[in-house]
Amino acid sequence: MKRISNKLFSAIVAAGVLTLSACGGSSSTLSNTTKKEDVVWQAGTFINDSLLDNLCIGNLNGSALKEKLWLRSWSNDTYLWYNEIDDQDPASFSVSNYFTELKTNALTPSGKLKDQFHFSMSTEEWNLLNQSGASLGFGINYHFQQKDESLNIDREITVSYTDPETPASVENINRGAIIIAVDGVNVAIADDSDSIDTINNGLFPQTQGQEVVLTLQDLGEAETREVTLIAENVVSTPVQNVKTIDTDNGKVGYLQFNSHIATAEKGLVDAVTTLEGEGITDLVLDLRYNGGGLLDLASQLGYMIVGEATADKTFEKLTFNDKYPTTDPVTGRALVPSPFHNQTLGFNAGLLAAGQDLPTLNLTRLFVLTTANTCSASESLMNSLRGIDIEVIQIGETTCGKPYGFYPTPNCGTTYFSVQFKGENNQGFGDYADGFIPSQTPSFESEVQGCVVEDDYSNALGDEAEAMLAAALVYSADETRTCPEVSAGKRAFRPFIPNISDSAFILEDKRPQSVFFNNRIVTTKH
Amino acid sequence: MRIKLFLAYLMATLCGCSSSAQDKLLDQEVLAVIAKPSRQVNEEIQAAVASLLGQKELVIAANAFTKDSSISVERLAHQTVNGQLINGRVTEQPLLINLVKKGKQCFVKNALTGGKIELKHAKCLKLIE
Repeated sequence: MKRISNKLFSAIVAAGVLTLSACGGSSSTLSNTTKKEDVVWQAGTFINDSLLDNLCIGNLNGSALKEKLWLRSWSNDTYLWYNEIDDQDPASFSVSNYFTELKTNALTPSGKLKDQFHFSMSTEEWNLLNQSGASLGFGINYHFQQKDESLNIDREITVSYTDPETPASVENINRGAIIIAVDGVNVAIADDSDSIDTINNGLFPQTQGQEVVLTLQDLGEAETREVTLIAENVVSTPVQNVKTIDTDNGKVGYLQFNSHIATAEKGLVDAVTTLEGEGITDLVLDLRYNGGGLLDLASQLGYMIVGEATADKTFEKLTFNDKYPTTDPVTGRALVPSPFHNQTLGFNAGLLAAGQDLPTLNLTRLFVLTTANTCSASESLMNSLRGIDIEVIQIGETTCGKPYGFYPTPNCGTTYFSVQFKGENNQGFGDYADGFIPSQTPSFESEVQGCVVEDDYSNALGDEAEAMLAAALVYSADETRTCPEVSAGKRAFRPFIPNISDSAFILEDKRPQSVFFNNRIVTTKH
Repeated sequence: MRIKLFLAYLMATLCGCSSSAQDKLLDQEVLAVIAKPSRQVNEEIQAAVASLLGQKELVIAANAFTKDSSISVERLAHQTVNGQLINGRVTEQPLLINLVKKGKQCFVKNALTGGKIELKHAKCLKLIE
């Protein structure tokens, strides 16, 4: 087994044993004959990585050098920008440090690193599974605002949205509520590690039944209130808030799509069926918190929005490095463009069986609401629709800029994520590493007709007064394509999070990450 | 007398049929839902599904199998320090786990492999669609 691809995952699990984490157990064909010292680094010369598979530190025939040379050869073979790697002698690096060197340092046109997606983690952790959308918590999605004394900005935790049928919804906690204190610790002024720990433990519970007392200031209220929440295993609702808005120009549909998880298939089908029945003439798709997930869902949604115009068109085509112009280096299969799916795939066949025709809205344009959290599969949806000349109008902030992907690849107990492919649309476009940027006067392909609007926590999602939706409604109704005025401080591109300078004062979810807890806040002691 | 005998025979036959059909029903595996959800039941389901999938532990929602007889299981949505999904372009198929009832026994079952683990304490009801 040279590499373990995503496609093999189900089969591996089917075998009842998650062998992905296996390290010492498996061995390459040469492991019995390769001695500990018989490999050397030689600039420009690369051993076939399959000969170095799982020759790990501590194994009979393994060594740190072999692990590093495996990384080097594997990167040279499959990394999308392999020819931009500086071929360094691994001797002075640890295995993990050497991996971090095996990437390009080239910049995007805007000046950010082209490859910001170079990761590794223990294979055991990578292989953790959960029920789709399930996590331990309260059903609150938080927005963390960093403290920045130079800009006179306080630390603040705001509820960005909650999920139905969760402790948060039972306590009527809604978007825009500010969490003033956690178990009595004031969020804005917490300035020591004990206080930070208290906040972390409260926001990110470790056990079912754990209680937290939140002091909340609800939207529009001067007074605060205290609520006691009890942590439980909650499940997110990836498609929410489906509604129709009557305008002078017809009915505009709105839906909040938070995550490309299995249960979203039925949610999307139900939503589109409802909106189709309502006879909408425009759709506002709220992707502002959608970081991606199942790519096939994006393809299905593309079909459901557009309909037959997707026939025989490419949803996305993967391109690898120039060593593999026609085949996938991991699966060995010929590179074939993936279509827009027009049927259900049965991601959760118990909810929705595979093979049923999808509903469609037959629209020729789409409004998308975006932030920097809009990423990967969500961007792929935007790109694929633009590729078939559907007018995509972007309202919000620049998306994260991730047209890339990889096959998570394990070696010696660590799973490596190294960019291996880029997704291109029907017109061969996939260069949006700087994200999709809303612009009234787009001049580059990654600039999308639309308006820059900041996320508006002062209104509910789906509320016609919410700034992004309001802008979309104005834009859709006005042939002059008017955007709201952007204040001086509001820009299309906003970096995610400042550098973390003092790890002792980070508010973060230290548990294995889940979709509910997707942010962290940093503070530095002054 | 002959009529009585005939009726007795008929009754016996019908009872036999009925009990045989009942036996067949009892032998059949049917989709099910949890009868009385509780934290203990949820913990038992979590442990069983984890065992079924070779995991040390995993999170199953408190309301799992209370309205539907199936759940999908996916890889944990690992995130970077910036809150982005590490892998936001997923091509793996989620796994499907069903809750099934056979006789009085209740199982979680891997739809792909057919492997199943009995829930010893949780009570199930046949799913009525």
